[in-house]
Amino acid sequence: LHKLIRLKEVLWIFSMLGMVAIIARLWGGLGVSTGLSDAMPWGIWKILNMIAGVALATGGFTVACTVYIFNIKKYKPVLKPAILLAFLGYGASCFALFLDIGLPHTIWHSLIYWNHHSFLFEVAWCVMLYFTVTSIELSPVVLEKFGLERITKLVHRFSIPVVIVGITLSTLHHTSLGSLFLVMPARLHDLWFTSMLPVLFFLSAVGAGMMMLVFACLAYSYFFEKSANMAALTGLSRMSATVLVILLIVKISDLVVRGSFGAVFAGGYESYFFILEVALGILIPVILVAIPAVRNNLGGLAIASGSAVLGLVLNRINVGIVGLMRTSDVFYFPTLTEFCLSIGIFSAAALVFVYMVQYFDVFEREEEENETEAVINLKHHGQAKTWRRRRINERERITLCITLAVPLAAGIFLPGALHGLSPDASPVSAPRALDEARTMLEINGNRNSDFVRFNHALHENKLGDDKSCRQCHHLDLPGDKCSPCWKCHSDMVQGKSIFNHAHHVNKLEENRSCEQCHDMNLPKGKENSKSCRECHEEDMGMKSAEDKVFSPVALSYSDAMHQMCIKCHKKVVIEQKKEGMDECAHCHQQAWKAEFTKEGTTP
Amino acid sequence: MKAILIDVTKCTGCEECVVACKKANKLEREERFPDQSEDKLSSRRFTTLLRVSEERFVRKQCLHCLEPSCVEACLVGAIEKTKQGPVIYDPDICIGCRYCMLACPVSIPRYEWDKKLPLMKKCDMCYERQQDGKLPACVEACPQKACTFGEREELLGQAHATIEAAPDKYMPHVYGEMELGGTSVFYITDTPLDVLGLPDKVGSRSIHSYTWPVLSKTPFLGIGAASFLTGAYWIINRRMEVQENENTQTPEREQE
Repeated sequence: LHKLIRLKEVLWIFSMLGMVAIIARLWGGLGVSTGLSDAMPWGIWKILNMIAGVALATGGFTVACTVYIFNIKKYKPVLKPAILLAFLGYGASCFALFLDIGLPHTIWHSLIYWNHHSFLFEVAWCVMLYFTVTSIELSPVVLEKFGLERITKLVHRFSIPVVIVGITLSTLHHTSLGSLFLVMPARLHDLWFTSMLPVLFFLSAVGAGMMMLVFACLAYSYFFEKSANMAALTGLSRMSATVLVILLIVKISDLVVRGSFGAVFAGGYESYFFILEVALGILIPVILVAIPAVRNNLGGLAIASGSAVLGLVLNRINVGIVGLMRTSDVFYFPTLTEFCLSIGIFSAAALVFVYMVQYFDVFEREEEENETEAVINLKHHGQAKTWRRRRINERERITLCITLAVPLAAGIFLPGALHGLSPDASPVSAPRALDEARTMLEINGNRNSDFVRFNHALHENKLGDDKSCRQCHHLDLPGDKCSPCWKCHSDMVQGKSIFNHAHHVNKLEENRSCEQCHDMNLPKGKENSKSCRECHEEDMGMKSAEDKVFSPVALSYSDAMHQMCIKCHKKVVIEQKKEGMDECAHCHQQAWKAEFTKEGTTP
Repeated sequence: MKAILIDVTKCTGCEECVVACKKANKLEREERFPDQSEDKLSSRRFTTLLRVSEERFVRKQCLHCLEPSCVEACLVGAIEKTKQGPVIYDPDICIGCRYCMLACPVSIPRYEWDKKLPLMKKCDMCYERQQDGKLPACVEACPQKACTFGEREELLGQAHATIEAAPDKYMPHVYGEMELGGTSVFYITDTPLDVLGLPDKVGSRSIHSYTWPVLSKTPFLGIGAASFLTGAYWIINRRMEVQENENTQTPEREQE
């Protein structure tokens, strides 16, 4: 079974990449490992792994419904794979959600703290319960293997109630997953925002879920080289096509009723994504399935089902990411870590599927199977001979894959976890000169497009004319970097706290300095100390800039300006009785005006 | 229920409120994150000044809606609309799903993307200071007395009275009275406040009015689905049994 081993190798490699991505995510945190931001807080882990992943696992409940409730025996052979698919889909979704939330260790809070008004609450509970239901439904497969017939019988006795509970829960959370997006009327693009979202989500999940099951069964027959149960698969694809046609009708009539149909052909990336989604998810599969020759052909069915699955995934991405992009005004693209974790989880689920199929009776044994097995054995031996020289067995190959994938992935992710978040990433624009001699510059220091006037000539003068250059400019640094302002104006950001205790201790003669400020009988602290003003009356009043010899720490710009101006202003109010001169607005509004109209400020 | 009234015409843009907010909430120094929104709100800045026109500035912070969508959205109920007015957040309950960030129509909740165990951050109208009988820090700090703190109804009356007293000066509209189903932060102004980002599409509807009609039907959907399935199962099985009894010569395999 050469194909199967290849498949396993590929899946193992992706799973291991995902494994390391998980470590990178837990190690670095969400900001570092993902491309998410305040404007786009949900990424592919939620949209692709959780929301789309759950939708693709719908096969479990639709087939359970047809077999148990409507008693259509034709689909019995695909029941177990469907339930296994559902189990894995939900398990993978829960796991992705665990990694996506900011505080994974608190995930159990969702069990204890309830908010009935939240759709997410409903989704969380239904998903958890349905996951339990699928495990119960799946348990006979495992139990049979170990010969625990008594428990199996017990499970079978309750199968109908369990199935009914399962279907109800599925209906609830598939609609709720759509309702999740009802809170975004202002954000989600018109093409997707509708109060019909729950219905659309439910229908598309049912339709594409069956197609996913078809795809899984086809993949099984391809990789395991078994014959596919065409009667069941064609039937499933036809049911799915019917659901998809209903979905199309609902979707289009909803667009028309809301008056947003024009938006489909309005141009812009939303339109293209919408058209692609409808084409992939509905039109192509429906047309292909409608043609009997394609429907009864393995390849044709594979294309139809694959397309439907892609269409569903695209639909969820559109609703959760693409449709929000324009109003959020950011471009979100997943990082490599996000991609690898996402694909890794899917691959791991697929791996479990493969091993379950291999070691448990998931697919029912057919009569012809012995024959095919014999053929395969023959083939296998033939291969063994030709490949003898470098034949490594399956286990060794897979081990090799893992050992190669892990360091590779570790090398890619861990140092910095790629282009994740680092607060200093946005570039500083070069200073712009206000005059030709560059005596005045405008510097956008903190990158928030508020420019600060920098008096270059003044700095040059103060720092010793010709010798001054190298105090700020460093020609040996990359890009001739200058010292940032805060190198000298160290208190620039912490505007008003400029008290340097160590400096005072030094200046006031070490150990004898304490009592000069503190009352020695009381606990030392701000409350029981001399006020600054007692020593620095002069400085705080600011007679002139030169008088301030005491502190080598430069004043912040706003402090300096305030101290220089306010004193005079207050004087003017008293002496000349000019009301309002001492209010903030007197200067600030005018200053804003001056800056805005670019008339220049007067010193 | 407490509220804040902001008179945009009085604001000079001195940003004392921003500084006071940072001090009161002990926020760290800001860094500029990539993809940070234009309004400069972040997990380290809960209130920010936006320029409306040449001379006008408006303060953007949490509006403390009457029917907050973040409260609706939170699956663990970590966000709460208190009786006193503020919408507060309990970091001990939060699991970090970030649904509140998507749900807020004005994008107020921000996330600590640089932390390994991040929390949501937003203005809480200085809830703790209010408990101590103090004013919210931003209101207290305003040198122009552009912000007033008080009972919601009284402030609304005051806002309308101010507008009526100077109809030439003010726009005849109190921002926040109806928007998003009513908020606890009002603005009176002479210039339209489009920069605040109050969504036109939603208008005076609360997000609750979008979700509740669907949410309230959920239990019926569940009960309906379950009873339909039980009924269908019972009818179909009954028929099968009858059919089986009729033609016993073709025994069917027993259902597993």
